[in-house]
Amino acid sequence: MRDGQRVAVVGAGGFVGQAVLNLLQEQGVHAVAVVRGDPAIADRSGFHRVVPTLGALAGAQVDALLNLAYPTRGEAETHRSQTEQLFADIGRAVVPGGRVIHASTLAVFGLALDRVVDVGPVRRQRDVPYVEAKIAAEHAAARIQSRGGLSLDIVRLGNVTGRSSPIWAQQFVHRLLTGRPVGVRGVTGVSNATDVANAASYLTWLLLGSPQTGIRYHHLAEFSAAPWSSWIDPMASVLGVEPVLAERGGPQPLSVRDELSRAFAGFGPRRVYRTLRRERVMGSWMRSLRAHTPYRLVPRSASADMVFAPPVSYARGEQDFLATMAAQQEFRSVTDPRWTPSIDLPESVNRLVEWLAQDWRLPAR
Amino acid sequence: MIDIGLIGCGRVVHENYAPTLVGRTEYRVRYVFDRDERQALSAAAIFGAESVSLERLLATADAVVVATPPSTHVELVERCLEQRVKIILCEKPFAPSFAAAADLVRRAEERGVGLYVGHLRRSFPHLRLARSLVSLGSIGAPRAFVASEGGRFRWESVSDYTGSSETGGVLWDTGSHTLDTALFVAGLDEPQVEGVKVVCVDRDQPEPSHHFSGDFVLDLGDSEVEGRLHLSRREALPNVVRIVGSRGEVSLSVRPDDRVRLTTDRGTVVLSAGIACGGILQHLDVQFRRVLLQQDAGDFDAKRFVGQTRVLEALSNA
Repeated sequence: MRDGQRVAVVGAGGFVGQAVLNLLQEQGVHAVAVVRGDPAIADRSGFHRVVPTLGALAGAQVDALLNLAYPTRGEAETHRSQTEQLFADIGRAVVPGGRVIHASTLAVFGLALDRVVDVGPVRRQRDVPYVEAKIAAEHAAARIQSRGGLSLDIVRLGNVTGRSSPIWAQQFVHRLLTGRPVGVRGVTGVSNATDVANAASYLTWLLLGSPQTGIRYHHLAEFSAAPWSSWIDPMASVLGVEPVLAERGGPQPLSVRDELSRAFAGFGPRRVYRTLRRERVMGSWMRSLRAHTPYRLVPRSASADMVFAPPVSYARGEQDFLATMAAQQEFRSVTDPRWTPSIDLPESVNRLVEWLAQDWRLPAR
Repeated sequence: MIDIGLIGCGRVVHENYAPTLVGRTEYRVRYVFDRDERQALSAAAIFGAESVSLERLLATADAVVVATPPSTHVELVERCLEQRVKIILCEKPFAPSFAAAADLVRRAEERGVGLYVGHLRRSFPHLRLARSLVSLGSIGAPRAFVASEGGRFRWESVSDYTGSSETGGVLWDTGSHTLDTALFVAGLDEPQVEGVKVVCVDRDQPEPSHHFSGDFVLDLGDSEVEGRLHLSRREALPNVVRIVGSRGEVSLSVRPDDRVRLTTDRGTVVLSAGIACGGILQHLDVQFRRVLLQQDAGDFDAKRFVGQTRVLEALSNA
């Protein structure tokens, strides 16, 4: 990193963003942290400059920018337009020839990683809103790169686990404690995981590196081949419980038909919407439904021959989770060979176990 | 029809109260008051209510809901008591000190006023199941508990009290919920906590803190219970409550659920309350019904939150 280089982290309030801010601070790098909410929460030491939006930079451009943000608010069908706006702001915030690191996700190949994984551009797919938005973000990043002559690195992160992971660590504790399944019996899935410490390390390393030309794609999942049980079993040991596994055959491949027939049987537009927003029929089709026939289509189904489907073993959210636990396709790391992970698998497990143990141990007088 | 007067028209009112207080047949929000006129008018439009002065609201409402920042609770509840409002439901955290909480409870009892505190988690099926297990003696006498709750803080209050008021930090704001979960399940909300010995405290900054942990000992007169509270607005924490007794333990999530784990010398088992848990709004709805219609409202009686206030005050001052 050259002296005087100005860096920004967009979406710095999240799990990875907080880890990146800490690493930058350790290296003495002051960043502009774009984060919603209270600055004191986002940056406990006041080391960085916290702003609520990129617009708050007021024309003061940065040399390098890491984007971790993605739309989480508003109706799902607005996420694509929010993404376009976000990247338009990013394009204005970076100096010509500057560097943009965009953190994406393995989910651009499907939530259950059921599409062919390729280290390169991914074409638009009709999918659930989250996946559509993530793919759209990669395309939007590529557009601002070509317009602004920027250096662009798109880093697709694996499942970001580790100490304090709100998605994985908290969920594993909850499931283990309440006897809910954490895997499928007889199926050893690959975790496709990256520890937050390594994810932050790699993103920071790229952010502070020298700009290059064009677009580079990276996949980061240094523990991709490790099964989820590598983390889950030690956590179960701390809690003194046996992990529960779903019987094989319970979680089915994602299918909308049964759930749609249930939703339409109730005629409720909100219910239909809630069902569809988790489906790959979302996207343009769903936008059209809401824009043109929000309340007319559903009542028309009243006369249709809809019957309740036989009950499925698991609710949709449960199926999605178990599909991830049982994933068979490995999302292998493809990273810059000059970078090495900061922690190995045993250390990742240790950190997670200690995180749990500190709040499970009884007070010692 | 019970006419409710709503004091404070901030975000919780617009996001959570609106879906739960509109369209009810037994009660309605008839009057609203907020120092911020825009907020008051907005809430009035939602509820079909009148935006009125505080004096008129107190003089005419059958029941008053206090949904203002915590630092204003004592003064507003006092005003309600002076006007002899029949039912007062104050949002959590109840009061900033043990003395203030105890005084309000005493005065309410003297006047025959129903004074309640909004702790909607007491309607969660798994909390009620866990409390029953403890009260039935399944784990013996409680002797220690640990409780954690943390995650990215996304609540943006209109008044910004969560970042500016001493009682707006994670200890009072989230911790009042977390601590109450432990005390309610352990049955420690009924015998009054007679004293609190703070063993150690770690916080990121003076209140309002955003990250807090503390070990303490509750003096129950004839016994002691050790406790630990770990709270964060930055870091995801395990979000569990574990209560250990002389013969076993119960553990549960701090989030809405129907399941509880019971562990004794015979082994460990997950028990279900047998009813779907539902979401936060459903439990807020239940809380309003129980308090406003005076049906099984005892769980929300303000006197059962005085001990909690003593603990929070001790930790806050440590």
